[in-house]
Order: sequence, then structure tokens, then C-alpha cells
Amino acid sequence: MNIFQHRLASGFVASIAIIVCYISFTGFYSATTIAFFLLLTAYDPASYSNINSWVKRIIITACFIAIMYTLFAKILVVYTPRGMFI
Amino acid sequence: LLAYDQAKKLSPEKQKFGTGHSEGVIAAESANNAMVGPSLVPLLTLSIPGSPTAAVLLGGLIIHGIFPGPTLFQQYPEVIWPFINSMLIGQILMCIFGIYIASLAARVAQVPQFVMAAIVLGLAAFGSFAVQQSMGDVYVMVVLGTMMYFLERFGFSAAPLVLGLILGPIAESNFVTGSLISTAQNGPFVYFFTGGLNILLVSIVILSVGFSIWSEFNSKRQSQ
Repeated sequence: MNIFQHRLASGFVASIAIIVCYISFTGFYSATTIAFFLLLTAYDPASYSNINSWVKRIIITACFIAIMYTLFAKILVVYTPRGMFI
Repeated sequence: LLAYDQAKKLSPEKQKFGTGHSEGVIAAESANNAMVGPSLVPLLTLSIPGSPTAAVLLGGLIIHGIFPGPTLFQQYPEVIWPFINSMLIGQILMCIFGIYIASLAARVAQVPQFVMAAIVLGLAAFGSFAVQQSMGDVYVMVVLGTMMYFLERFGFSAAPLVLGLILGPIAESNFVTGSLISTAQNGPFVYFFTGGLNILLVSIVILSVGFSIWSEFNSKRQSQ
């Protein structure tokens, strides 16, 4: 593994920890959204000052969560932990 | 995992395994596809799930009051034959779609690592929770994932750990059942180590372990 992959792996573990910590407060999908967005933001090589890269991250996060929610919550009706949000 | 392990043992390019080498990918995916049908044979005829997916299927059948076993084909033909026919149709469709979609599916490899990591993160958390709807499984996933991150740096492979985690409970419960039966009969040695099938299986295990050790020694000797 190169340095980027090591950094990515440690960020991955940190993000999983975020999901586990927040899941019972905010709900599964909200916790996953937070962790997903943080992981994208932390490791995206695009500049933080570039507005387009923020828009891109938000769109990727929204698409992924929307697909997950539609597939698992609506179509397959799989139970997930619920909190303040979904 | 077993197919990947065997392909690695028999390949002349062992060092390329773990880097996306095509032999490893083909072996693992071929075995993954090939085991779907055969895992249903012990499930439907003996009520023994041959894979985690078959175990979930067994749960589904039991929920609907259907207990797989030798009489299943007589009692519930309306459930079983569509099952088998759908498997046959599925294999044909898999072949057709596989040929036409493979080139598109290969583009997944072009997704940036940080996006892929984020997607895997969501699916891993969801998948580990959804199987038994238990947060305990998510904790196990986090602990094992973190452990393996550090252990891989010392040369440990994730494959035996995953195998142990999946097959361990199945092997343990069947071993306990076998032990109880053997105690009531002629003793554990006669029960586990006599008979054609037992001797064949034990021989395969010994040969596999022996070949691994020999192969390891051989590669070390060659590198020296």
C-alpha cells in the first residue's frame, strides 16, 4: 500500500467509527451521509477553495444515499436503526 | 477464497496476487458464481446450508413454514421446481448479460479510490447490520477491519480470518453433533476417520496443508 492508501484506510476506519457513534442518535442514513461526505472531502485531491468540487461532492453523496435509501428502505424494505432523522 | 487460495498456490506468478492480478480475480469470481447452484443441493435435500446465502434462504423457507429435506420435492413441488427453473434461466441470462455488460462493468475500476472507499464504507456498515439486524455485527466489522489493517502490514492474510468467521460456527455445530453421535456409537476415531468418504476428505485436507508447506519452503529456497 502507498501512503495515500494508508491515509485512506485510516480515514475509512475513522469514518466507520463516526457511523457507529452517530447511528443511534441520527439514524443509519444520516450517519452514513455524514461519514460518506467527510471521507470524500478528506481525500478528494481537488482544492477546498474550488466551489465546483464542493458541488461535486454534495452531488455524489446525495446520489449514493438516495440510491441506498430507495433500494434498501423503499424497494427491499430492510430495517435500519432510526434516530432523530432517517 | 478457497479458489483464490488454490489459484495462488498453483500460479507461477504468486507475487502478483493481491494486486488485481487477473488470475486471482477470475478464480475467485468463477468459484463465487459456480457455488450458487451446488450450495442449494445440500440445502434443499438435507436442510444443510452450503453457503451464507443458502443459510439466509433456509431462514426464508422456514419463516414460510417450509422445512427443506428429502420429502420437500413431494410436499412442495410448486415451490421447488420454479426455484430450480429460475436457477437454469438465471445461468443463461448471466452468460448473455455477462458478455455484453462486462466491458461496461470494467469501468467501475476507473472510479477514484476515495469515492470507492466511501461507497464501500456505506455498504459495509449496512451489510453487516442487515444480515441479523444487530449493531453487534457492525462492531465486529469495525474491530476486525481495524485489526486486519494493522495485521496485513505484518504479512497476515484476511482470507483465513474470513473463512473462520463464516465457516467456524457451521463447522463447530456440525462437529458437536458428530461428536455426540460418535460417542453414542463406536467412538470418535471410528466415526470420523473410517469409511471411504471420510478417508478421502481427510486425505484432501492433509494433501492441501502439505502442499502449502512444501510450496512455501520451495519458494523460500528459490528466493535464497
